[in-house]
Amino acid sequence: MSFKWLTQAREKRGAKIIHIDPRFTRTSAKADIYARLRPGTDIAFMGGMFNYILQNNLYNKDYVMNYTNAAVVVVPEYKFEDGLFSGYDPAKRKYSNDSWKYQKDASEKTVTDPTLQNPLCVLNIMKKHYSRYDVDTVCKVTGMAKEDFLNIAKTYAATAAKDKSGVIMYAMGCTQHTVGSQNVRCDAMMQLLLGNVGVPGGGVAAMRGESNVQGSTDYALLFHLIPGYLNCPKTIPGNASLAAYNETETVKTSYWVNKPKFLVSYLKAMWGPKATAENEFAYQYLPKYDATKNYSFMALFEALAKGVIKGMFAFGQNPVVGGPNTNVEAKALENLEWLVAVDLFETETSVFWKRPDVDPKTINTEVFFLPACGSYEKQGSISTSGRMAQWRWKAVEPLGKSEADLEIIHQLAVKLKAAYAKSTKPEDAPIRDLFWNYGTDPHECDIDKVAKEINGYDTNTGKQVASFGKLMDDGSTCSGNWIYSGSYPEEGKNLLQRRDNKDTKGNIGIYANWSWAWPVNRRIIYNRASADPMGNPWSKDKAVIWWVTKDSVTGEPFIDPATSKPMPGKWVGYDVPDFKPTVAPDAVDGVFTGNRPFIMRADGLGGLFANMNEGPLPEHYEPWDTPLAKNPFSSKLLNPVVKVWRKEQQGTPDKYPIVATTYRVCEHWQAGIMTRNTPWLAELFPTMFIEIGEDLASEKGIKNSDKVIVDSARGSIECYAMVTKRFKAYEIDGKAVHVIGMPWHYGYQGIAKGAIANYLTPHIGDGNTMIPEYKAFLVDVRRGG
Amino acid sequence: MHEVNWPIILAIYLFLAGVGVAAFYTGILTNLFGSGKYRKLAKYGSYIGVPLIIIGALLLLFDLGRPLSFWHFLLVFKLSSTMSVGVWLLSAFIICGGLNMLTWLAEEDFARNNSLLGVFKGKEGLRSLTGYLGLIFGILTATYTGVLLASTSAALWSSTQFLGLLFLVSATSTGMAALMLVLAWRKEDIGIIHKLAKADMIVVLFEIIVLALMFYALSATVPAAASVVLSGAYAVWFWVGIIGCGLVLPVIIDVAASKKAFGAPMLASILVLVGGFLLRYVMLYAGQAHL
Amino acid sequence: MAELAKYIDVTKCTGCRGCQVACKQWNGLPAVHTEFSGSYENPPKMGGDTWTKVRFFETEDNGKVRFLFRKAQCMHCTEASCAAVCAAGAITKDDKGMVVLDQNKCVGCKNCVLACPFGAVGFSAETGTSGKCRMCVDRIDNGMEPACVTTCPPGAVQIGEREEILKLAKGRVDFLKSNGVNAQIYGENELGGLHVIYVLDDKPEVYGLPVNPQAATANLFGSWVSALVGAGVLLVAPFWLIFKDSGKDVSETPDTGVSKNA
Repeated sequence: MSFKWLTQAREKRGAKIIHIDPRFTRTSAKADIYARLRPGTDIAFMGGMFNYILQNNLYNKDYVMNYTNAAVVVVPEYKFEDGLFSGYDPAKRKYSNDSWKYQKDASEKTVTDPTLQNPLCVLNIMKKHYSRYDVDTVCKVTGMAKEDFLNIAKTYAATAAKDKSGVIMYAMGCTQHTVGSQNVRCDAMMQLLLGNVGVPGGGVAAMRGESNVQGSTDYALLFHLIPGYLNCPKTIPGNASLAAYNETETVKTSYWVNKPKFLVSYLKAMWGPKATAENEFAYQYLPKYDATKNYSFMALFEALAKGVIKGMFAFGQNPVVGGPNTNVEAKALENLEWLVAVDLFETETSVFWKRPDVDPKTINTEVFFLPACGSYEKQGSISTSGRMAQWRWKAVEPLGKSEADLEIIHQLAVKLKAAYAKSTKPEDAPIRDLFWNYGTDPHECDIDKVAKEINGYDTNTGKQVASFGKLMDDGSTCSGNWIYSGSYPEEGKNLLQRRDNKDTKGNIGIYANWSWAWPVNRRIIYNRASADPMGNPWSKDKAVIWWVTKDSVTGEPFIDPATSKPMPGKWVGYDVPDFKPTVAPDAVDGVFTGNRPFIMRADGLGGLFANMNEGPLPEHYEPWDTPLAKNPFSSKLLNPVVKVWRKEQQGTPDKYPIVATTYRVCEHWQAGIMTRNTPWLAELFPTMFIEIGEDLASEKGIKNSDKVIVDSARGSIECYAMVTKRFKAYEIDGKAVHVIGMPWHYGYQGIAKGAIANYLTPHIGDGNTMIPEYKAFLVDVRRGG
Repeated sequence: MHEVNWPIILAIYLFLAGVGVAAFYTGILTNLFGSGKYRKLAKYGSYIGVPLIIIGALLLLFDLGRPLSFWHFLLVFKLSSTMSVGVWLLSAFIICGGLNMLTWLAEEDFARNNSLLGVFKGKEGLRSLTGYLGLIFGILTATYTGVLLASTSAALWSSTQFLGLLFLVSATSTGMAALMLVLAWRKEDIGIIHKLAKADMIVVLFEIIVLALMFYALSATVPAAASVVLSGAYAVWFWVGIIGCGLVLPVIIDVAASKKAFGAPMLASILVLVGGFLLRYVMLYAGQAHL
Repeated sequence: MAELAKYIDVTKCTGCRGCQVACKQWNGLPAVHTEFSGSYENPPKMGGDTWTKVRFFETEDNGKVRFLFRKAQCMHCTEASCAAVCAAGAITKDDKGMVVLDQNKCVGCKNCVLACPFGAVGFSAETGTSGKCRMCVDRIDNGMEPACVTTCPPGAVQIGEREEILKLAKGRVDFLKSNGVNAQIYGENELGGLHVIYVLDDKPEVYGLPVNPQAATANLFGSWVSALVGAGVLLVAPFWLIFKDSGKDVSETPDTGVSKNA
């Protein structure tokens, strides 16, 4: 769908589309420039780009010097040697970031060197770090052709010009690696170097795998967060009480200084009248997780495999197909005492005992199936990558007995609350006292009430709050999710439902009255960066907001309505300023510094150098299953902080010499149960296949449409071979490395059936987020029956 | 076997249509040029031709996707649509040939007391008229079967202008063979049988010439389509079945056999008929092969 | 009403096949059972139940690989072979130039299926009739665009007055040519003018289109003439020569003439 807009950008504004992907796909066919790189070598490529840009001085100097921490000096203890940063504990496989801190002078001010002479200033650290990423080494590691690399570097570096911008769009091909987070971080660093953050046509745009992924993270369907990206409390002393949590969590120099207001308002939304100043607003009712444990997806399945977890809800989730290492995960499900599967169709997970070679008599799990209805059979909002939460209405009645997820959860809450109503046990109290006023009929949840509560209201008057600026930490306000505060500011005004499709101002695609985006309907985040330190747009073509001192109509200064006194000026423009509107470019007002656009960061500057679990700068490590014996950039083959659960399941090139990657096709959706049950889609791609190059196929005696067997260190599958010109061997460090690819949509249910690709993928994930490494692993291929 | 839109039932129809009308007009023509000496051929021609055409028409009906809607054909007469022309030709032939046949049936012994058939007894004028009309409609019908295939986008059929002619010639050959077969089987008129055999040899020669011209042209313009028949999946059917059995072998038998035996002409005529069917089958199927 | 045409720009097509599904959905066509086809194409052919499909081509020139897509469907020819051969009067051309097959009139003889130079017509076992793209004339008559046009995300498929579409296509071809692309239009003059105009970025044969297609009835007259000439030869050679009455008495030549059983 988004290609419509790329096409338009190309047609109307001469945009160039650069596509970088190990596979030659339908997108590659339409790109202006296509280059391939070996799966798992994104950092090598981006590092090469950084090197090219820094060595040739192609970065946007004004932007970088003023709006990033390029000139900040790091403490002298900082080192990087042979693939490791200073502060690494090899036993714990963890870093301490003490040696990555900013240098402070006697008065605790951060030391900077605007002359960029100090070798410890960030920009020089970057230059040195990426000097190893010269073009030849990069092309040797990635397998990208040198002329392609230089073409892309030149073309994209041109967006550093003040009147040009570029957007980096990425998807799971970027994130599903043991270095996935650092891959995305590279994108952010690139955009900062080129001055592409906060301007129209810029930014880092995540192409989600599912339409409401943004919503799922906004509302904290992640173990380590609570809604609005507040950290979920842990079982550490610093989180033992509300006061301790607020002290530990609040960053006083950024907008996060308001965290206590957001947290208390959230607690009030959760426990209503039962959350009072006397009981820390029911802070102790919030579950706290053990910080030494990991509760991410793979960790849960490892625990499940050990029999630690007894029951599971699979809400619209199909781990047997979608989770990595199907042999491990599907077998782990057999340890469950009970499983509740909620889905539109009978998924492979909901009938996990039906998988081939399994005797159902050996499995004791009690399985409940709750039929859910589709998105057109219910109403609610979904949030896009642009943080816009578009409301959708119900179009048809649900089929049969299927219900909306909202109603299913509502029923659970109503029934659980009833079950616990008389309990005096402390562990039951959080549910017993849960504030749940969305209706007493279990089958009908008042979604309007939910929406209003998410926005938040005054707990005394019941009036909706105008925005998160009005949230308080004294219990007088509640808000289910502070970032959505402002979406429903008045009774009857659910802004998520707006449908005015006019490009409101400036012709930069703002559409301010179509639905509503958080925060407070800002469409371009960090848009302060679109103006220079004096408050004037870097370029007329890329203007978003700017500082004016006088009313353009009357020529008079603005009057502050609160004090009736003249104001120094205000920020005006095409978008809601991502800044306090009255703070002048040269002023400081609380956490706002006039020329520091990145208001959510402690120093207000973009972080070229910034803390991540595996270091302050991205460094290339090979995927866990690597075809190389040695990492050309250091002696460290694997990301030093990733957790390895099953060492014996690592794939090595002696047995599995072919690199494999998994992906989607637009005809099928995720783990496939909806599309494989839709006849018009099933007929387009009826069964599982691999895409294999003509060269590799002829080596193996495989003809197009032959059946093949694909083996990895985790499992085997049989499927068809699509022999194509679009896949060819790479030359990696002088030797030929073949890459094959496959969709992962298939399973044993539905109309269109096929082998499950994830039998082949490993249980290993990213060092920060634990996202599984689905995109780069090793296999072997042979002709099948 | 590759997927086809026009399947075997249509190959049978094309064959039966050819044999039927050609048996009929062979009878008419021999009797016409022979100044009435070959009435038996005219009679047998109608007895063979009309039922075969009726069976053929029924086969056509069953092949339709919606057989009960066949009457839609009768609402349309379109010169550009050979099928439309064919529907009307078949209908006209069935009527004329049918009436003609009834005039002959009326003279048979079993018809002596039949009042319905009695209406047609002695109707020489009707017999003449329907005979000549049947001749014209018959020749056009034999031709239309080939032109029908040629008015499509199948390369094998539409790349030359010879197919209608080929099917006409082949039909004539099979019509003569059908009459030969009936006479030989009834052990009648060995002299007439030999005349038919001689005539058939000329027709076979003509057919070989047309086949050669057609496949020469096809090999030049659409070699892939031609090779399906000449060297591909249908090569054996073509060379052994059509050329060998259907054309060359019958001629050899007719030349070499004794002039007194009935067995040889019977064998030769069966071979011609088999070859004629195979010609329809091969052309129909090879034309629908996916290249 | 002015003649309409569908515009298909293969350079914009992303091969998503939304048009394939939208067509089935709007026209209520059933899905067909498919097997792995060896490429992204499926079902393997257009048929009575599949009125449009996207074709995929892979080419390689000097090591440069290209992945090409073309939406195939009825071309709504001015010289429509299907309409010319339909003996049931089920296929007609309307005033917009659209060639419409009325499935109520069709008897399922499949002549049109074999006549189409583009293989765009198919037989549906489910309805017993043939079927093909009908340019969503029901949608057009109600002020809407064909289902495929509405669905296409990059706007590669459009509809408009044929004159305007030709202008649009020529402009696009000029633009592509100025960027070094071997662009051309297909459909301007073929078969009297097609009502589907393609903007191609390579030769038609690369995209599986017939160069200089002929109507099915192109050889019709010649076929009849050659056959009737041959009929004349047949009348003379085998019949007249062998069976003509030489005037001799029957009794002079034994085994000729009527037998006792005549």
